[in-house]
Amino acid sequence: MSRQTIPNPSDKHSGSKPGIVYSEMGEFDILGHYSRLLEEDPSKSMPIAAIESLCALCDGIEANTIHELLSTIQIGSDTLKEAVPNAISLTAGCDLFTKFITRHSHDDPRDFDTFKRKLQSNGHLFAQRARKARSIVAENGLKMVMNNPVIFVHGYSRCVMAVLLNAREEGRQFKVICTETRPSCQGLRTAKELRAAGISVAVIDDNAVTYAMNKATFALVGAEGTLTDASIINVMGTQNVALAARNIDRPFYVATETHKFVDMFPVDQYMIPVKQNVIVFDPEGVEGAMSQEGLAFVDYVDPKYITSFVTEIGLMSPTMVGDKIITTRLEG
Amino acid sequence: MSGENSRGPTADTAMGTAIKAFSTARTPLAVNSGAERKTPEETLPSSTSGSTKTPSATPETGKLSAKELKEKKKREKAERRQQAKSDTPAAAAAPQRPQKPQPPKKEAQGKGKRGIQPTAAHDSGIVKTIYSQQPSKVHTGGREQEAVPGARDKDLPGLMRELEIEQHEKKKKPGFGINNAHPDVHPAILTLGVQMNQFILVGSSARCLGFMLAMKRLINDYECPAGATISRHLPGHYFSRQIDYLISARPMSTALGNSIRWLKTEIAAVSPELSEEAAKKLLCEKIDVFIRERITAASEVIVNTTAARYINEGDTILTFSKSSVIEKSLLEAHSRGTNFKVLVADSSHLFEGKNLLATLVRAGVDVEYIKTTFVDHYMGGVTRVLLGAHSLQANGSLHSRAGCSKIARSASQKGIPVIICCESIKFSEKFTSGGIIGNEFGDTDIIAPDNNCDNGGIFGGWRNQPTTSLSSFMFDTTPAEYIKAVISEHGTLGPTNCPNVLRANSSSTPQRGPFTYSFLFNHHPLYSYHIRVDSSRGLDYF
Repeated sequence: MSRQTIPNPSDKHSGSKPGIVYSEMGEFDILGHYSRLLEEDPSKSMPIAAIESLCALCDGIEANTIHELLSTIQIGSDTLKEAVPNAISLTAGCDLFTKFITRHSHDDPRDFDTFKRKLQSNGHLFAQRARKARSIVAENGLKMVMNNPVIFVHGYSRCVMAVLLNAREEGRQFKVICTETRPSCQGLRTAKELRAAGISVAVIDDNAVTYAMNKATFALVGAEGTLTDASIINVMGTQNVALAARNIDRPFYVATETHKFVDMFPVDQYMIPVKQNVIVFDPEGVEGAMSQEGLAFVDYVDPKYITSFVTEIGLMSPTMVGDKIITTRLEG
Repeated sequence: MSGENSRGPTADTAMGTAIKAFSTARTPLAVNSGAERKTPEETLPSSTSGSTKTPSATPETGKLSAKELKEKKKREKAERRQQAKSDTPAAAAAPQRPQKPQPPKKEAQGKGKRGIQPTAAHDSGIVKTIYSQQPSKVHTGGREQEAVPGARDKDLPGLMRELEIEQHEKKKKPGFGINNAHPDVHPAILTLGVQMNQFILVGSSARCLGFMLAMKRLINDYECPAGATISRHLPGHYFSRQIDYLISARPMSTALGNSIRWLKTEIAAVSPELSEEAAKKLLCEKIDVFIRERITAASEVIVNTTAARYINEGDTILTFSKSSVIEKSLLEAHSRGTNFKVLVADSSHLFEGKNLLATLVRAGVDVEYIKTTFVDHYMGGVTRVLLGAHSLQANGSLHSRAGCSKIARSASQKGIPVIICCESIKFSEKFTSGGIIGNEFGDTDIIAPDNNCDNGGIFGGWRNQPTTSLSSFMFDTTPAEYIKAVISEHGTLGPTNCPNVLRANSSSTPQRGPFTYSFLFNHHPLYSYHIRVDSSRGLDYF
C-alpha cells in the first residue's frame, strides 16, 4: 500500500466525521452511500451493499494508478468497518472485493482505464449474481421440505424466507414454528410474511424454544456471517435453538450464501468482533436486561451443533465450509 | 536450574567415553545441554559454535577426498579405541558406579538419567556402543542383556510389540553409536545424532533446525566424486547413510521427515550445469531461506498471532510440558502488557515444563506449576488451553507429548477452547488410527525407578519376570474433535484444514478457474474420503 500518497485514516483532518473517506483525490461519504443502499432495497444484504459502496467509491474518487486505487479501497473498507457497530457480514463483502482487486491488479497494469471499467462492471455483476445466489439457495433448500415437516425458525433471514416461500410455491405442505425473537421482534415479521403467503405459522415466546422443539422436524436459521471454523453469527437466541435441537436430535440447518463466509477465527462467543454489552454487573440506572441499542445483539453457534449449511453450491457440512474458506485464504 | 544441575554429572557419566570418541566435543556439548532446550533460535548460535569446534579433530576434512577421509577416519577410530582401552578403568568404570548408590531422591528428578540407563524398551544404543570395548556384564549384572530386543518381544501385546519391532528394524542391526556409524557420516551429523539420542536436543522444531544446520556444514564439506553430479550423487547412498544414522539415534519426527524430503528434492533439482561450488552455495542459500521461512519466521508469525489475539486480559492459560512457540507467545503477550495467569502442567517424561516454568518465573509472569493428575481440578478456572505439537496429522489429530490428550479432552468437555500452536513444517500428510504406531518408547524409569527395583520395591525384579512389561510412551494422539483451532503461519486453521495447507504448499502456483475442492471426513478413523465438488455453478463470482 502506498501510504505516502494517501493519508492514513487515523490522521484525519480535524472535524472529520466517521464513515467518510478523506483522501487527496477527494472525499466520499461511504457510510452514507451504504446506508442509502440498504434503505432503498430492503432485500439487499449487507455484503452486497458493501461491495456496491466500494464500487461507488472507486467511481467517485479519481484514482490514476492501481496503487492509489488499492489503497483507496483499503481505506474505504476500513472506514466502513469502523463506522458500523457489527461489521461481520460487511467484512465478508469488503474482503471478497479487495481479494478480487488484488488478484486482478497484476493482469494488465498498463491499461488502467480498461481495468477500472472491467472492475466496475464486475462489481455490478457480483451484485446480480449474489441476488441470484439466494434463489439457488431456495432451490437447494427445497429438498429439505419433504413429508409435511414442521420447521422451526428463529429471527428474520432473507435466505430462510426464500427457501420457505419457494417451497410453498412448489406446492410443498409444511408448517412453521417461529419465535418472537424479542426485543427486535424479527420473528413477528417472519410470521407476518409467511402467513401472507398462506403458510400456517405458530408464533411462540422466546422462552418456549425447548418446549416447542419436540414438535418440530428440523430447525432452519439464517446467518449474518459464517466464520472460518464454520461457526455462525446470527441474532441472539440462535444458540438456544441449536442447543435445543441438538438435545433431542433435530437437524439444525443454516441457509446462507457463500458471500457471507468471513475469514475470522474466534474460539468462543466472546471473541467475535462485535462490541456488545450483554453481561454487565450492577449497571447504574438499569434494572432489567441491558438495552440493545442500534443493531440487536448477536449470538455465536459452535459448528458442532450445525448439521449442515444450505448454500448456492449445495448442501455443505461444517468441515466443507471451513475447507472452502481456508482454500480461498490460501489462494489469495 | 534443575535441568542443568541434574544434567551436569550425568552428562559426564554418559559422555564419559563418548568424549574419548569425540575429542573436542565435550565443551560444545556441555554448552548445548543448557542452551538447546530453550528455543530453536538459540540453538542456532550454540549448535554452530558446537559444530565449528567439532571438526577441529579433522580440520582439513574439506580438502580431503572421500576416500582419504574414510582412511583418515579409520585411523582415528583405531587411535580412539586404543585410548579408550587404556582409559577404561578410570573413565568408564568411575562414572558407571555412582549411578547405583545415588539416593532415590535424585532419581526422582529423573531428568539426567534419560537415555543413559539401557532400559529394555528404549534401546539406548549409545551406552552399549560406548562401553562395547569392555564386556557389559561387568558393571550392571546382566541388565544390558535385557535390552536385546528379541528377549522382550514375547512380553508385549499386539500393536505395542509391532511398534517395538518396527523401531528396532528402523534402528538397523548395529544399533546406535558413533562407532557403529558408517564412515561416510559427517561429523556434524554425528554430533547431532548424539544430541538427539541423549535428549540434549529435544523438540520437533529444534531437531529440524539442528538437522538443517548440520546439513549445511555437510554440503560445505562435501566433495562430489569425479564423473558424478551433485544432483545425482548427493541425494543417493551418501545422503541416506546420514539419515540412517539419525534414525538409529531416535525415530524420525514429522518435521524432520518433511525437511529431509524437501532437501532431497532441492538437491535433485540442482542444475547439472552449475559448478560444484555454485551448486553448494545455492543449496546453502536455499537451506537458509528454508530455515527462515519455515521455522524462524513461521514461529514469529505464530507468536504474534497468539499473543495478539488469543491471549487476552484476565485469561488463565493452561499449557502442557514445553513448546518453544508457546513459551515465546506467553513472553510476548507478557511484554505487551497483557495480564494473564499461566498454569504449567508437566509431562513426567523429560520434565520439560520445569524449563518453561523457570523462563516464565524469570520474566515475571504469574505462573503456577501443577501436576497433570490434578488438571481436572484446576480446569474450572482455565479460559484457554495452549498446546504445542510434535506433528499434526492429516485427519486433524494431534501427535504430541504424552499427556496432551488427557488435557485436551478434559478441557473440551468443559467447553474450554484448546488451541494448538504448530508450524506448517509439522503438518503430516499421513495419519494413524490409535496412538501406538508412530509412537516412541520412552524411559520406563519414570514408572519404576531402577533404584526402587533394586531395593525390591513393588516393581522389584520386574525385568526378570517373563510376564511383566512396562511401557511408557513418549507421545499420544489427541483426536480432532477436542481441538478448536490450530495457529500456523498460514493463519488460524481448523484442525482438519492441515491437508489444505499441504496442498497449497506443494503447488507453487495457485489454482484458478472453476476449482474443485476436497475435504476429509474426520468421522471415520480409517478412511479418508476425498469428495470433489464442482463449484463452477455460481461460486466464482468474478
